[in-house]
Amino acid sequence: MLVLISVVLLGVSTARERFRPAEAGLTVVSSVQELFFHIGDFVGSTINSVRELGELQQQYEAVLEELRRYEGVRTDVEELRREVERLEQVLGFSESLDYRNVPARVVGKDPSNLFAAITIDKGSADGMQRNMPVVAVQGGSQGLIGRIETVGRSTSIVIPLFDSANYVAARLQQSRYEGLVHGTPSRDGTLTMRYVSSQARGSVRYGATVVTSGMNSIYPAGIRIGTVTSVQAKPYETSLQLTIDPIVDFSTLEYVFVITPENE
Amino acid sequence: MTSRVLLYSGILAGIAVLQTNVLVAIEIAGVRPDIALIVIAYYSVTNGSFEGEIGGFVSGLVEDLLSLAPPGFHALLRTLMGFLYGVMHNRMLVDAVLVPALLLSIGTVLKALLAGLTATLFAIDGLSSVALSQRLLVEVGYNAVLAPILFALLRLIRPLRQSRRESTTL
Repeated sequence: MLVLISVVLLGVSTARERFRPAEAGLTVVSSVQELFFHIGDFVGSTINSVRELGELQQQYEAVLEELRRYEGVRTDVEELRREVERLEQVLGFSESLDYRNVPARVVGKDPSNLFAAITIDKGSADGMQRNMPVVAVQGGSQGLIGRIETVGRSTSIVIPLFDSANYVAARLQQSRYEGLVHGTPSRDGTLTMRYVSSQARGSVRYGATVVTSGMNSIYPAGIRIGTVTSVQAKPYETSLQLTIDPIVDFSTLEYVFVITPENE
Repeated sequence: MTSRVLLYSGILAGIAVLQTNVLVAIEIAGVRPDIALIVIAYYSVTNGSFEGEIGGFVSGLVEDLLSLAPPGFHALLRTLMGFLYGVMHNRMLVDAVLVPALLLSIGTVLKALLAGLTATLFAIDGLSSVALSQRLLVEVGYNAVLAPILFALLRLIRPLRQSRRESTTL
């Protein structure tokens, strides 16, 4: 027993330099502490990352929403810019026309397919009257649209050139032969010029310009109507029939000018 | 009945206005579908000639005001169409596709014939040839295609009105 105690004492006294129980304990505990710290750090940073991800997602959606809003604003600005350009053009055309005129906007068409009304946003309150001629400018060219048929307080109905019931006294600009222009029942976009003297047979050329003759009191002389695309000349008939391609494309009509009397 | 007549008259008047501007966007070869005629067809077949005539008259009258047509022209046509469609009330089973398409195909041709006849009787210049031109074929096709869709939509109005009435009664 004494020998055993002696050996233990000897062992403890000689090993003190290499083995320190406090240090050993610290090493073990700090390892566990470090492990928990790392686990805690990992969990904490993961939770933070998830939260940040959520916040980022919200920020991303907010920015996206903002972007969409700006996209809408940009489209509106573009639309406004085009509108301003159109209005500037209209103003320019209005000033360049040879006649006193009131610019108007096309706001509607005939509700049925049987008639061909064009509704404009100017009425008796703006000085509109029945039979006032209506013109438009497209691609820099001025062309006849028709005349006002019905006048309301703030809108008017225009009977267009291509309506088969609307007759316009016209003449060939160069050869000066006269005739009557009206629409076709098929409303295929072309006009017909009738009662052109057969003497004009030799002088009518394809592409010749047809203008209003001013022979009736409605349309002033010299307003362009269209160009000749074909000539029907039958030997037994005393007059020619011409097919006219109108200057104005009625399907894209937005703004028109109502010609008002000079003395008003 | 009065509220139904007022509702459909309001719808038809609104459609007549829409046909002047909004529906221009869906033109095919310069031809618009006759939405008012489709609604009149549904309304008359469902509720009979009397209500069909009233709806047709209101719709036609509004169209006359917005059109180059002589006042009364569309009112007459629509009233007649309302009456004719109303004759079919309780005499046929309206299915989902075929019957609406057929009703509108025949109705559109009939409307054009009536328009031509009226134009001839009342000496409306150049209209009969417009009514019976090639454009009629486009309109017949367009109306026939849209009829089943609009009939299906209009069928939804009835349960809505019934449920509202029931909730009011409760």
